[in-house]
Amino acid sequence: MIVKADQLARELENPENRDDPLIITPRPDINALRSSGAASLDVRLGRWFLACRPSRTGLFDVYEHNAEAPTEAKLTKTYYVPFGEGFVLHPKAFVLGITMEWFRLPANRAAYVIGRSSWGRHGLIIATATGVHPGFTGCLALELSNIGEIPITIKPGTTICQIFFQKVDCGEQGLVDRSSFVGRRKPTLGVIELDQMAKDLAEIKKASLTP
Amino acid sequence: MAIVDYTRARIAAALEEIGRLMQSEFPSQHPKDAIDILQGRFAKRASVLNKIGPNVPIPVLQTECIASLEQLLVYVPILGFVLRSTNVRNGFEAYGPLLHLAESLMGAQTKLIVSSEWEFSPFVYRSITDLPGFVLIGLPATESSNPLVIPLAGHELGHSVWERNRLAGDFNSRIRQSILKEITNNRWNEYQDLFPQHKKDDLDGNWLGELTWQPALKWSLLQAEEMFCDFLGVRLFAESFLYAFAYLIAPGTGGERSVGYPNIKRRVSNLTEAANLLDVTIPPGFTDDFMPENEPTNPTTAFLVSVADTVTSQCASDLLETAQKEADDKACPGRSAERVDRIADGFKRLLVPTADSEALVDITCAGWKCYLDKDLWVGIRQIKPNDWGRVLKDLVYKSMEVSEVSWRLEKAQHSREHS
Repeated sequence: MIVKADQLARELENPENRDDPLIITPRPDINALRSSGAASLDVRLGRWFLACRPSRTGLFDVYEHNAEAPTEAKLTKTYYVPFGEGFVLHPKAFVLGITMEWFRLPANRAAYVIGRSSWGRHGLIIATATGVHPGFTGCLALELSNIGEIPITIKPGTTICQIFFQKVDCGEQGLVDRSSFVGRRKPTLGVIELDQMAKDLAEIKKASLTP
Repeated sequence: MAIVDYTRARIAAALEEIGRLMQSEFPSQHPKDAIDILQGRFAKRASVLNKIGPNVPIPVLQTECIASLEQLLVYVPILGFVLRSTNVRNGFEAYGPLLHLAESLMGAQTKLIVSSEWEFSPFVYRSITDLPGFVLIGLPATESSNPLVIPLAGHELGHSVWERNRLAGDFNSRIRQSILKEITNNRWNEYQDLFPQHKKDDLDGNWLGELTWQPALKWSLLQAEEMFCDFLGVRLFAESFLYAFAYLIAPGTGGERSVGYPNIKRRVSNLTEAANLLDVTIPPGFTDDFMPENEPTNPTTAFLVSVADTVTSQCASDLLETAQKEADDKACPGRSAERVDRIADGFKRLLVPTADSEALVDITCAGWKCYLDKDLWVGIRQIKPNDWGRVLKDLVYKSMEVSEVSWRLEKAQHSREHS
């Protein structure tokens, strides 16, 4: 069930469980949130960006495990945009941004992030619905893409996307997010983890069904 | 003469590089302001050189070339410094709170550039003629993404305060008199062994006699400045200054001491005395973390630096009082144990940065408190142990950003209400 904004405001002001509260910092305007009538919270753009860059790297291959595999530093360029200045997202460009807000989700809350239609109509797409798991803490990386025809300037502090919170039946163990994206203030490419099944299937050279 | 052509070419090359530098992505306005000013200076120099005609006397021509090369000598390192201030390895979130602190100490017109330099220790550029009002602080490149060394910027800010308030002038005559007194009253036999040709009367008024002890005056003034900066660092950053100091300097690099600083054991002792007076808790084992340094082997240097040490030590309480008054008068916040505990609890228990604006000193002290907690996130499944350091740094930087955002929004609201 999606948590409505007025309930969210109540939760932020008076958490049900003080040992495991929902926290958003910088704190949103509680009065505006309470009176918005919305089912989501607008989220602001932070100051760090990460973009892939042309390099001498041949390709990005998650199946190659060797010491010479390109690191994130080799594949990407980091940008910092101070308040008052903008980042220009050119047509067809893709960049990782970050939310200005740091979120802490309790064990009984999950969330997903989607773009705002006002930006979407101008061609700015916030990737797919980014899932945020219970126990997550940190800023959220935003996959920003301009699919329109004209460059778009985006400035830190702008409300750029929205986050919907959901109630989660957390069970007895209290689920938490152990992803490598926890506790970050800057966007990162992260590591694509392959599970055993994917590894086994990727290793098959010749299709042979003979035992 | 070829030297004019060479010099013109060198200034033109500098201007070309400045042009490229101006296209950098500046993290704040002040580095850009500095580049604009320097571009103007180099353009003016190029104009002077271009006006030199074939009939200009050689001495005039040489003078202009020397002036041009001096400009290159002084400002090329500054251009490099500004370039490195744009590097994204820097923790830019610390800039706003540091600027806030610098403005509190030195006025709203203060311009700050924080860079990451390939140096062992933090440092500050001093007396840059063409960049008045600028404070240039360099932090070691290898620590440029570590917010826990930010407290050392308090010491570097101290140098700018010392210079701006002309504090050397306040202490100069007192130190001079103390040196004369120390030599004539307490160290006369040692002095006579080194300078047998001089009598006591020669020391004050006879320039040859004065030359013998002038190094002690120079070193004592330098030491006094360093002590003032250390005291200001403790006043501004409390425990976090002491931790950052030990982190970067202890146990020392061995070898002979620098004459411009109190020897490290004396320096540490001064810091602990200041900490006691300012109600700052001294880290356990702090004094023992530092190894003694060797005194100079040259007998004259050893004697004069020993005199300088004695005289500077006599100024310690006044230097501390001056540093404390400087920070108190400018309403620089002191450390609040209650706020530090609250921020550290947020880091440790909830894994969140501060919710509102907090003083830089409280954030850095909370950061150090958590850094030293070996059980910090034991039992917190979200954070893998090898990620603790990175996450803590991000929490500290994010807290600094939250403070800046709060402070900027308050300022904007204030402007709206009064417009």
